[in-house]
Amino acid sequence: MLSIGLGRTSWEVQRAVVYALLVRELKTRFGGKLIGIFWVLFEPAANIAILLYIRGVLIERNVGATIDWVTYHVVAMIPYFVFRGCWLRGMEAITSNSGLFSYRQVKPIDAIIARALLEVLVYGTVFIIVMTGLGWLEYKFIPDNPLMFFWAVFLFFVIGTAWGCISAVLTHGRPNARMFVRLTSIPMYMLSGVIIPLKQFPPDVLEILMLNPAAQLVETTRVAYFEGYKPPMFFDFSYPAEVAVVSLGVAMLIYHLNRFKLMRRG
Amino acid sequence: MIEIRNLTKSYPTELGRKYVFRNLNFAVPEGSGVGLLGRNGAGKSTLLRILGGIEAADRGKVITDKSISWPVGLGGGFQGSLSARENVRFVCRVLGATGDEMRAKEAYVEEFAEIGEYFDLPLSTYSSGMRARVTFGTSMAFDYDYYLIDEVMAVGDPNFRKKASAVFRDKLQKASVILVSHNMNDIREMCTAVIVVERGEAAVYKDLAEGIEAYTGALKGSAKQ
Repeated sequence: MLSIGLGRTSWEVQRAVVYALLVRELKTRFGGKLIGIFWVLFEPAANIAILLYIRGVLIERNVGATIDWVTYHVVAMIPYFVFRGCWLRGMEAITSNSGLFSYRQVKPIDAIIARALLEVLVYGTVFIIVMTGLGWLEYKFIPDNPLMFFWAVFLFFVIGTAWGCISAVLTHGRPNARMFVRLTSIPMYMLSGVIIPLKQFPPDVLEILMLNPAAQLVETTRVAYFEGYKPPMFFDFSYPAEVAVVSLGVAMLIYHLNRFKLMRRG
Repeated sequence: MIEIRNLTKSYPTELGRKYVFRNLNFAVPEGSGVGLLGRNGAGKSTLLRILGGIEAADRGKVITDKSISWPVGLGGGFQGSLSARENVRFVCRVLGATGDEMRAKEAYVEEFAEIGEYFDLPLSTYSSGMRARVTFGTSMAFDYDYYLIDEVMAVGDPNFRKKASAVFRDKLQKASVILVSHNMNDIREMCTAVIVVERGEAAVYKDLAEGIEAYTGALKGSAKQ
């Protein structure tokens, strides 16, 4: 009777659903309006402009003699935005797509995956545009260790998505708790070393700051970009990967336990 | 055939756990149309959601070898910020209709809905009747053995209702519908049997008149109390 879509494997169904959600997210996010694209490009641009200003007016900070400081900030900032986007937008994904769970093929996890992929797509494009611009202005734009750079971006994506999933489950039906998570993300950004180099913190503070996997990944992107870059103390290359594995495990576990509850409006 | 076996469904609320169904057992009668009757809050929509596979029961199961549509209702399933066309495309992608098939479904819904250029405007600009035309049309664009229709007919104008029942009659040659409605004329016109949901129980009436009688009788009974 059912002439279409019959006999698809679960993998094919999920792929079709994630693709459908991705198209839908793209349309609602940009809606064919230029202003949407403008904002996505504007945010990193504004961040960099503020940095420029602070540097010019205040102090010339030494990040290392051979290091291009604009590149130094940009290569950490845009991957960080992938992480933050996957996390904070992933947290809202289930609520904003709750109407679509009327189709039995669509599961809450698909909404989180689709959003995370969209973040990668959006900031990947932003990154290419910004890097092309920097290259044109004769800044350094190619990493010395591309593989390590992609590894850092990948871990940003995995940790962000896992945290997005965990936050989505924990804040389901508690919209006020989301405000708390969003507020937490602000000091986390400020203290992740994207804007303020972490080296200037005293070692006992630094030890705590480097517990933040995002701070470790920020440093990883810079190590990957500049051969001669010396990361701060307590830099640990494998720590973010461990956090990623644990976060993903926790995310899948708590999602699985709550998977039916998540389909209801909350 | 659809059979419900030992179905228990409850929701946790601030006032403790509320049971919608406890150990519900029944078989959906064979036939082209089955009406689902019950007062507000009796659990009709919950039952449809369980049949549609989007709500899990605490215990028990739904046994069937038929394909069942998503519950076609006024809420959910469609995104207000997107146009009808984009929503239809979304459903097509989810259900695996791509390329020419998708274009065919799109054209079908556009023709069925008859809402002109609103078809390309966001759903949030629609009246409830226009919304009903689109949601109903979308479900009719796909072939299922059972359609679950939740109150969509109620908001339509006579023109839409005439069209909907014409499509229904055509579909009902080979498919069935489970219809939630408070309009007894709709039930009489499209159903051959009814299920009355009352206090967590479901009573199956293979005779239409008897079922409607039982339902209206129960309503009157409760009004007196």
